[in-house]
Amino acid sequence: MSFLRLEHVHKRFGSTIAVQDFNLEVQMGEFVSLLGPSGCGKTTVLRIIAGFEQPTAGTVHLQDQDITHQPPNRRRMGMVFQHYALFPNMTAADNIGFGLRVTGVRREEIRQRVAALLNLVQMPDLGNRYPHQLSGGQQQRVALARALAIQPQVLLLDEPLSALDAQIRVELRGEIRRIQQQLGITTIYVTHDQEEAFSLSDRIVVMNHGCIEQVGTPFEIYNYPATSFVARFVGAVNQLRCEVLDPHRGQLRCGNQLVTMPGPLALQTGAIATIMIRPEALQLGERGGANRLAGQVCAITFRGPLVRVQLHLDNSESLVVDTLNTRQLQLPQIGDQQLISFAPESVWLVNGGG
Amino acid sequence: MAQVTRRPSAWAWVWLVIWAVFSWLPLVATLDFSLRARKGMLSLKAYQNIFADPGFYNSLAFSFQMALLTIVISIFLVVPTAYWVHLRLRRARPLVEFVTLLPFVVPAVVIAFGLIRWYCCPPFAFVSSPLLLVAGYVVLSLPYMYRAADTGLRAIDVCTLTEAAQSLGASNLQTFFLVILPNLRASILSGAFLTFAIVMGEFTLSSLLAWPAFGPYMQYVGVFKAYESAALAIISFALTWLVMLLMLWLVRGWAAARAVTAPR
Repeated sequence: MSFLRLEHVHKRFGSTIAVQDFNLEVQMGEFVSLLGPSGCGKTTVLRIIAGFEQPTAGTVHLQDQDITHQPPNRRRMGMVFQHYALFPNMTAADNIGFGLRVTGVRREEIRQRVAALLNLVQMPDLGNRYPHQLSGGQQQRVALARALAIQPQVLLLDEPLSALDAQIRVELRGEIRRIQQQLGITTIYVTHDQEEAFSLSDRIVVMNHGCIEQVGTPFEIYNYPATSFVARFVGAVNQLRCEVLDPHRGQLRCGNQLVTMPGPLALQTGAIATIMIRPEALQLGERGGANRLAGQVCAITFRGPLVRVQLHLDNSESLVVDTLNTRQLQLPQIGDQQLISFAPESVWLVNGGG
Repeated sequence: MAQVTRRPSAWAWVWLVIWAVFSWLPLVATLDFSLRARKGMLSLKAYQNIFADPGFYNSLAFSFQMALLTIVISIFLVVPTAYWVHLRLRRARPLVEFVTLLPFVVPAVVIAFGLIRWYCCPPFAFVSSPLLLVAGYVVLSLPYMYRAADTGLRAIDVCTLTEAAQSLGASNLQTFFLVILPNLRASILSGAFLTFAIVMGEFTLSSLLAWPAFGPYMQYVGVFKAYESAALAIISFALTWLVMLLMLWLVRGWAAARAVTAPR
């Protein structure tokens, strides 16, 4: 039995369809991320779960109870906002204790729980600071503690790290996961950052234009993308237009070069198909697998742990190869002819086959 | 990087002097005049006469009470309205702003006659109640109180703070009184000060509705006693400044209570 269930949820804003036939089941204690580009409807889904938006159609169930029309202040769902939304007139401790105060919890109990939460977010001595006296990272920690104070049934996080700088973001990401696992709290996390979603989530829901494109574990989403949108959105991907040569043997022709797929293709000979392959699945040289392609090096980009080499193939298509950066790495020169290799298993066909 | 300090130009000084003369000369002249009640010497006689007149205290106390009532009712009416407009009726904001500016367009004398005409006979016979005067004052102070509340609301993220409070279990009233209102304290204080200044100096409404307010008292003194009238203007000016300083003190005191060096 699922803990949180959204069934056929639709949401319209005037003539704009924000969410379309959204179905999702979340298990107790699970960390689910809604991932997608801006305007894909992920925040709208989160707001529907929180009760800030009413779905145009569909239902939201929590522990088998229909909460679609329940007001947000009765749902017991802690929410963390992108820009913290701390109450400026209250200290960090008062902010954390607010949810307890409005529900009539005794003063002494509030004090104890606030102290425990300040410890949990590693700010034991900063309870008497006002929001404007805290850094962005500290403010977001307080916002997290405030959302946890009410012992929410579901924790909702709306791009909580996007306003922070890179280093703090990585640090706080780890904190969020640690606290979520420590408390075993069911969590829905909205982000457009694939790395964030991959590193935090048990499952990821990839959304586009208000629809679910794919639901799966980070491993499934990255390695077995269900649609070309998912493949392109989560990480870089090479797309090559090919002609089917022998569907039974899974052979295609890319320009004048042969590409073999891991199995038979459900396409006819001569059909035009698009294949996809991740840049890190390609290897410079002959040792990467049975498939070989040759091209001319047109750009080399240093990216820290990786070096990206861009090649033009003979059919004027280009592809990029990501190779691990080591001190011993022998890189080609721009203009060199370069052979690349890859395994048939690392290639997939868009919209069927492969 | 060293800061470059530019010396103010000669024109800046000229404009400053013109501004100072324009602003302060009438006041200095009034002060000087108010001190010349005794022939050939400076004295506080005009002030003594004013302070000895029970009419001064009565009108001041009356206007003070009316001002307080007006402030309370204005806050009660305007602040929740402005909050609601920000939260739920964003599209109606231009219309509401236009409505709040109407007291600038409709002269006070028209408002006064409108109130008398409408509330003179049953079932709305309130013309003899001071509450009608307060209602008129509330209308007159509407642009100032609404602007002040609106400015305060624009400075905070009303929608997100409301949603944050609601997600933590707060009701609408708790959200308003515990989260929104405390963050509007400075704005409400400035609106209250403006309302206070308007009510203390208001003449038309109180005169036409026949109430012994401070405005009609100043006018009465002005007609018959020239030096006392000047003294009254200075007292009124001082009173206004006193209230403004009180407001500044309250706001700064509140800000200072929160000020600790932030860690970065």
